[in-house]
Amino acid sequence: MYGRTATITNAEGLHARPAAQFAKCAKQFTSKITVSKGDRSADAKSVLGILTLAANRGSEISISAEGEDEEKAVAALADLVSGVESAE
Amino acid sequence: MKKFVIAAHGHFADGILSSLRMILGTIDGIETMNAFVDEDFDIAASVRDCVQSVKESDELIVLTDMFGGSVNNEFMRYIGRRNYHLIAGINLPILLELVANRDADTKDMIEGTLCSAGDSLQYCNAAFARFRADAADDAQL
Repeated sequence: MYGRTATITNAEGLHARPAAQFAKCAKQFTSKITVSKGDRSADAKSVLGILTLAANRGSEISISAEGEDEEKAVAALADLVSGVESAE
Repeated sequence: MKKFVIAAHGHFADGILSSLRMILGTIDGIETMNAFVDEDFDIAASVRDCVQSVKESDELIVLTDMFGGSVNNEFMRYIGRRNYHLIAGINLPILLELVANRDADTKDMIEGTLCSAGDSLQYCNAAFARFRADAADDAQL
C-alpha cells in the first residue's frame, strides 16, 4: 500500500471534466486506487465516485493505491490534480 | 462490440449526449432516439428497428429516461434477447460512469454503476449543512 496527499489547484476543483480525466488516468494502472477527502472515499477509477467527493479548489485529498504499480499510480494522480488546468 | 442507445421522450437523448461529449470528448458507438418529437413517430416500429439493427452477437445497452414510461415499456418487450441490457432512469453521472467503463464486463459495469448511482442525487442544502457542522466540529478539536 502506498499513499500521499495532494491539494487540488484548478479553479473549479474536481468537477466533471477533471474528474473524468482523473478516472481515465487511474484506469491506466492495475493497482486498486482509492481517493479520499475527509471521511469520504471513492474508487479513483469511478467518475461518479470522484464527483461525490465534492473536492473543490484548495481541498486536500488522499490518494492510496495497492498493487504492482502503486507508486507510479499515486504519483501520476497527485501530479494531475496539482497541475490540472480548469476546463471551464 | 458494445452499442449504446439513449432513448427518451422529446430531445432529452440528444441533450444528454451533447453534455456527455462536452465532458468526455468525441465518443463513438452511441445512438439516440428522440421519441415523439415528430408527429408520425411510431414507438413500436422505432424500437423494433433499433433493436434489430444490432446483431445478437453484439451487446446492446439501452438507456431510457424513466421506468414505466412508454419508451422504456416498449424496450421492455425485448428483455430476454441475447446480449440485451435495458437501464431505466438515467442521468448524466450514470451515463458518464457507464460510458467511461464501457470496456469492463457489461453486467459488472451496469451493476457497479447503479449501486453507487444514489450518491449522484443530493439535496445540496442538507449536504451543505452537514459540511458546515463537520467544519465546526473540526474547529473545536
